[in-house]
Amino acid sequence: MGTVHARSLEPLPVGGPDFGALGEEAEFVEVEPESKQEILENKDFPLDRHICTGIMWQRRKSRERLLSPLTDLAPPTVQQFSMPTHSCLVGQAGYNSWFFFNSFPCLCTLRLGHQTGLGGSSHRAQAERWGLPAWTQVIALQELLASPGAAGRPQRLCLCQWPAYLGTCGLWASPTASMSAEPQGTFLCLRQHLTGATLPRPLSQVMRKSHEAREKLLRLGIFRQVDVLIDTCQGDDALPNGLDVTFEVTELRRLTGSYNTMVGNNEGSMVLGLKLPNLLGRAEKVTFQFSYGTKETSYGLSFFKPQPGNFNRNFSVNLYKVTGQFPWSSLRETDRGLSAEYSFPIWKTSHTVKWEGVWRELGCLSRTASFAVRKESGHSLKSSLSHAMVIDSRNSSILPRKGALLKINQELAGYTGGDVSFLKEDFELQLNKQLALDSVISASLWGGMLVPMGEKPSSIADRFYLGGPTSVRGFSMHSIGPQSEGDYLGGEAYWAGGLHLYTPLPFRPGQGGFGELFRTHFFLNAGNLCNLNYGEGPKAHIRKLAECIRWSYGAGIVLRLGNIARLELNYCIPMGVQGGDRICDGVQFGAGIRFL
Amino acid sequence: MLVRLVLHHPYPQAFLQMCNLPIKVVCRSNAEYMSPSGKVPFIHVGNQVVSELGPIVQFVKAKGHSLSDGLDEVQKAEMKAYMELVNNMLLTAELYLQWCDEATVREITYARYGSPYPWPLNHVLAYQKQWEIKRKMKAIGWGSKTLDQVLEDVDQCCQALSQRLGTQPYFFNKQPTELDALVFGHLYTILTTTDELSEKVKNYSNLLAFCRRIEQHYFEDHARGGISVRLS
Repeated sequence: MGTVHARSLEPLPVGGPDFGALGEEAEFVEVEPESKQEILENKDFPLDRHICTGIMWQRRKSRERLLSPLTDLAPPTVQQFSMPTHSCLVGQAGYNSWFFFNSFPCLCTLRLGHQTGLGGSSHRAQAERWGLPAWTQVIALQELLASPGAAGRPQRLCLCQWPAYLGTCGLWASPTASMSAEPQGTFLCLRQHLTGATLPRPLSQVMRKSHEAREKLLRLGIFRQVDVLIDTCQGDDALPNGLDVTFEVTELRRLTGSYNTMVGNNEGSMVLGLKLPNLLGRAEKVTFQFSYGTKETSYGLSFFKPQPGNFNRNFSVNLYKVTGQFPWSSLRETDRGLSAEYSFPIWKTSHTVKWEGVWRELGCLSRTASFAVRKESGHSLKSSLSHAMVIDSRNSSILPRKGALLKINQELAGYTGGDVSFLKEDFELQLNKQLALDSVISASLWGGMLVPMGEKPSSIADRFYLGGPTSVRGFSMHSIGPQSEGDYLGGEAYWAGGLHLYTPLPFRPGQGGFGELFRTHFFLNAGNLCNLNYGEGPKAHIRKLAECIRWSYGAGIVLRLGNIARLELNYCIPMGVQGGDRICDGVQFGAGIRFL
Repeated sequence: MLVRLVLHHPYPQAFLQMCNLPIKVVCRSNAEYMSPSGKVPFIHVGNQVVSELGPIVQFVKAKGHSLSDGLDEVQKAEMKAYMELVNNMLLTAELYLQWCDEATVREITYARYGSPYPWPLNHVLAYQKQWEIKRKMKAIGWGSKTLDQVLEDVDQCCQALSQRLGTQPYFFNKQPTELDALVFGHLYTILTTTDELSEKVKNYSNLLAFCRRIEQHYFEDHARGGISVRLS
C-alpha cells in the first residue's frame, strides 16, 4: 500500500505575509510513487457521511480523573451518530477548541470516507474494561508504544467517537496498570476547523487541506513539529475508499527559559527570560523577561490568548517597565505600563484595539540639558485608547518584491484618566513593484499629526521625531526639526517619503546562496517635521509642512537578517538642511525593523 | 541679570532681594525633578541652572554680589556654623513633621503632595516620597525620635538663635547676611504652615520681630509677586 507524505520545509510560520499560501513557500516531498498510488491519486472518495477529525487530549492527574472531564462534556446517553452531509470535510463548523498538553509525541488517526458501521462488540467490551464512558462509540483500538521520550511506557490509544452534536473523535491514552499514579498520559482534544465542501474530493485536495491544517497547527506556536501522513484505510473496519490522515505532533516543552548577559554602552546587565507556550491548554502563551543592569532595571510580562480555532483573533495583556535614553534630546524616560489589546481580522484587514495606561517619568540625561527639556521632567500618567488597522499584501516584510502595506493608527489619550490629553494620528504606506532584471522599485510615505486637547501643551514623549538611518537618511538620529540648545524637541506634525530601487549586487556574487541576502539600493528620501498652529485652516498647515523640506539621496547596500530586520550601509547626500538640523553626510550605517 | 527662581522655601528669594537683584518667582509642581541635583530651590539664570543655597550663594558671589564681605574670618566661621545648625535642625524638623507625623501626613501632606497628579499617581508618588524621607530620617538617626523630642530640638535651636540675635536687628552688625536670609526663610515657613512648631517659635519674641522686620522691609517694599501673608 502506498503512503504519501506531505511535508513542508518551513518549520514554523509565524503569521502575516510570511505565512505563505500553498504553492509559494511550501514544497511537497513526494515519495517514490508505487503502482497502487497512481490509482489513488486520480480517484474520488465519496464522502456523504464522514467522521470528523478530532483528537481529544486533556491533562489528567490520575487515571480516575480521566473520565470526569469527558463526562462533563456530554450526558451519559448514547446518541445516534449522524453527521449532516453539509458539514465539513474534516471537522465540524463551530467547534473550534483545542487543548494541548503533552510531553511525548502521539499518533492520531482520522478517518474519512463512507462509514459503514461502528465498532463491533469486541471493541465495546475492551473499551469498558479500559474505563471509557458508555456513550462513546468505539471505532478502533490500538496499542502503541510510546515515544522514546516517555521511557518506553506503552500507551493505549483508542479512536472513538463522541455523539454527533459534539462532532469529534476522541483519542484516549491510558497507561497500563503497571504505571505509577503520577501524571502520565495526556488526552488531547483537538477539534479542528478545516473548511471544505462535501463534494467528493480528489487526493490532491485532501493533501492541500491537510497541509493547511498543518500550517494552522504550527502557527499556534505550541508544536515543535507537525507531520502529516495520508494513507488508505487499514484494519478490520476500514472504510471502502477511505483515507487515513494522520497528524504526528511533537509539542514544545511546557516551560522554556533563557539567561543572557549583555554588555554595552557603559552598562552591563543580566537578562532572564521565561516562556510558557501553552499555559492552559488552549495555546495561551505567557512570556516574562527581566533585565537587571548596573544602571537600569526593566521587565515585561505578557499573556497572549488566541481565540480557539481562529488564531487571527487574539487578546493579550502586557505589564512592563522599560527605560530609554535619548541622547538627541538629552532625555531619559522610564515607562511603567499596563496594556490590554484585542486583535481581529475583518476581510483582508487586521485591526487592533488597545487600551494602555503608562506612568512616565522623564528626566534629564546630563547637566547640560536645555531648559526646555528640563521643564518637561517629572511624572505624568497617560491613559489612552488606540486603534490600528493594517492591510498587508506584501510577500515579505523585509525587502518585499510585490504588494502593498497600509497602516493607519490613531490614539486618543486623556478620556480614560491620566493627565495627558491628545489625539494622535499616523499612517504608513508602502508600494512595491518588481521590474525587469530582478529589481524592485518601492515607494513609501509616512505621516502623522498630534493634536493636544485641553490647555496643556504636548509632552516631549508624545511628539514625533524625524531623521536617522531608518527614516530620512543623511541626517543624524531624530535630528530634524524644532530644537533648543542642541536638544531636539520633536514636532507635532510630520511627513516623510522615500523612493527606492533595489537591485541585486553587481556581478551577482554568491548567487543562489549568501549573495541573495544582499541588495544594492538607490534611494531618494524627503520629509519635514514642524509644529502646527491649530487655529489656522488646513491650507496653512499644508503650506507649513511644504516649506523647508529636507531631502537626501544616495546609494548603499542592504543586508536582510532573517525575516525581521535589515542592515544598511549607505552613502548619503543630505539637502535642504535647515539651521539646527544635524546631518550625517557620507557613510551612514543603520539597523532596524522599520525603514522609510 | 534677571533671575528666575523656583522654590519651595523663600530663603533664596530673601537672599536675592537682599542683594538687590531682580527676580521672578515661578511655582511648578515638577520643580524637584527639574533641578539638576534633585533638590529645590534652584535658580535659572540665562543658560545656567544652579540649585541649593550653597551653590547659589557661590554663583552670586562669582557674579560680584555678596552680603558677607563686611565680616571678618571669625564671624564668617560663626555664620557658617549657625547656617549648619539651621539646616540640620530646622529643615529636618520640618521634614519630620511633614512626613513622619501620622496626623499631618494623612491630613495635609498626602493631599498636597499628590494634588498635581491624577489618580492613581497621586497615591503612588506620595507613598514613594514618604518612604524615601523615612529612610533618610533613619539614616541620620531621627527615625526613632518622637514628636516631642523633635519639638524639644527645635526649641533648643530657636533658643540658640534668639540668644545670638539678642536685640540686634540682624545677626551680624546692622547689615543682613546669608544667615539672616536662611533663618528668615525657615522661620517664615514654620510660622505660616505648621502649628506645633510655630508655637515653639512664637515663644521667642525677638525672632518674631526679626521675621516681621525682614518681611516688611524686603517683601512689602519691593512688592514683587511676593508672599504677603500676615504673621500673627
